[in-house]
Amino acid sequence: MSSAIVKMQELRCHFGSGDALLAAVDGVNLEIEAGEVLGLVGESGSGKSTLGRIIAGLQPRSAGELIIGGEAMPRHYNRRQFKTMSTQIQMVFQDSYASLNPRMTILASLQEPLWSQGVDAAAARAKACYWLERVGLPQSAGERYPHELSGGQRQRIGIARAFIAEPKLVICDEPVSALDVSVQAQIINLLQELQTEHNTAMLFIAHDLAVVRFLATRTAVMYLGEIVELGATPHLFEGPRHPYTAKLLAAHLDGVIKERKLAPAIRGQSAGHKAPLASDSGCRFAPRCAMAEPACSANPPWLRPTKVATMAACHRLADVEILKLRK
Amino acid sequence: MNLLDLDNLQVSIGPVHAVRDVSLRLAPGECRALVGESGCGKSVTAMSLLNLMPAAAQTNAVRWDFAGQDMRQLSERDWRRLRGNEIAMIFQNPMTALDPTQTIGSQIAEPLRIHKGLSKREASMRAIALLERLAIANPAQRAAQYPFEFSGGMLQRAMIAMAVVCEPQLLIADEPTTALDVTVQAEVLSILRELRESSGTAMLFITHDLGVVAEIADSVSVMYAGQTIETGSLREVFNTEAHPYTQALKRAVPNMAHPQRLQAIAGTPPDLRHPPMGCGFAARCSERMAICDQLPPNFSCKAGTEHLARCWLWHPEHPARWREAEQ
Repeated sequence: MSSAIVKMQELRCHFGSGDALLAAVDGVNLEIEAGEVLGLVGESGSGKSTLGRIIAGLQPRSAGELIIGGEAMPRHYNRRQFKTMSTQIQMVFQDSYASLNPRMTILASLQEPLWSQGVDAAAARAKACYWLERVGLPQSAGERYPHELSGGQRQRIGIARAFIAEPKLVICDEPVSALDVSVQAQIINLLQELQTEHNTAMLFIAHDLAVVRFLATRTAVMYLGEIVELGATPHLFEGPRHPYTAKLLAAHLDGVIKERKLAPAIRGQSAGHKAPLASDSGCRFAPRCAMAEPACSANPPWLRPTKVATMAACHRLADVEILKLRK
Repeated sequence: MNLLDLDNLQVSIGPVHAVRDVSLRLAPGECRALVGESGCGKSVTAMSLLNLMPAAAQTNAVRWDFAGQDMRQLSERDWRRLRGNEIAMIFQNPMTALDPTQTIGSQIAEPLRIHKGLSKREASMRAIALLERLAIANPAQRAAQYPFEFSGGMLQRAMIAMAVVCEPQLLIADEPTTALDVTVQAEVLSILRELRESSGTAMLFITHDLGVVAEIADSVSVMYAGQTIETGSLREVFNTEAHPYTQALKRAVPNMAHPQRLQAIAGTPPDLRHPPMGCGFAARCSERMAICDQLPPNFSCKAGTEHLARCWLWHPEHPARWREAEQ
């Protein structure tokens, strides 16, 4: 048996009805191994959050298999299944304010996951106090309400709440993108510490490539519902094989002063992409791709191994590799 | 002559001393980045520069000249003539800044009709031409659409069109790319750069993203706790940062080329209802001295350049400066 905590096979999530089914997630095959940090990057609308929500049981899938801890999960969980799932998988959300109950004190919010697991009150309280300190907040913060804390402090609570029940996998959906740079660094360091300390697997969803480069052992790149590239983070960042990954990396601003050449704006067609439809045929990136050929729009590409030990879903992979090797 | 000369701007909103001392200078055609974290007063500065602060806010400045006029003397009538005409603003969130009940075209044309007295027809022709310049496909059809029919990147371009349509001398951009995806951000930045090169508009670019700053700015002012604490050319502030806060900020940002542990800035900014007696950054500063808690430092000059830092370390009487002088 493999050590995968979560296994997805041809996972799909379609919204709407009729001919124009919106394919938010369209045929994702992915495994999350115990103890690994898997980064999931992509632009808004790429389906990365939907994928995270499906795994966390917050969004029913339309098709495909989802196997959690060896158990094939149905589309809608019953009470027992939801409980099994929630002891193994927890989530940290982007909006720390919206994800805490405004009428519960911080300490009560922290204990809630333990109560539902039947931990007795005194033990739950002690554990919550420990975690309050572990994420760097004073004990007095426990008696406060969410609105009394700063964004960074609230996100620490969000993290403590996810880790307190000792899950096997924590899904972080843009946990730092709403925070200031100096606070961001504190939260990223905290997440990394906790991850190593507890050897928890993490699915880290972000649009900030530098953060993913920093945290993730493996990275998956999503574009319009599909995973277009997947592999060990250093390989993927240093030798992107999918034209979309390359474009994404090129658009990342690293704060280094460069000679300014006007990057050509995409003329005519806006980068504001069209929504992915279930009826799409061919490569969804083709309309924006500099390397696209007519054949690209005919059939969908699939993930194939590259020479740098990553996987890329590109019809022109062979040509991309020749171009890269020449460089 | 400078286009904008702002010296010691102070803004209080009720008990909050939001802006305590902001000094800015902008030459015609210059792009200055105003960098800082949330709550440091960047947006209050921007709103004050357009006299858009609520009546309850008290604004004071030692000097506030724009294009040769003393802005402190202007009546609301004068301001209305100026706003959108000579000084224009790009807001962070175009979805809330645009009117959902008006077509994009008529919103872009409105300033032309008000300030330049153009006819409805002429103004709308100009608006369409501008949309085309900003790489929006089918501009005539697009101009007749409403904001909800535009993608985020296109809305931000419409917002830019609205701001630049009267060819203002000063364009204030308040986090114009923060809500956008990286590839769309790259496009918007290249559009802004193009506009600046073709029309010679000066720009005050407010952002917290150092990557964006390196991409677009000529000069940089860093803000902390309501004050400008460092100012200089892009190269000076990026390569030889003088203020400990700027240094700490740079170390807190994950770097793709060298992923290493982030050095977070411990603590939080001071409460501006009770600003500290001494330096605002002292409590979080690694180089704190006794004087830092007692007296606020002035903008001291770094030898031989326009590079200024509000820090006791750069005071001419600091021992390090003596040693420099001896050598």
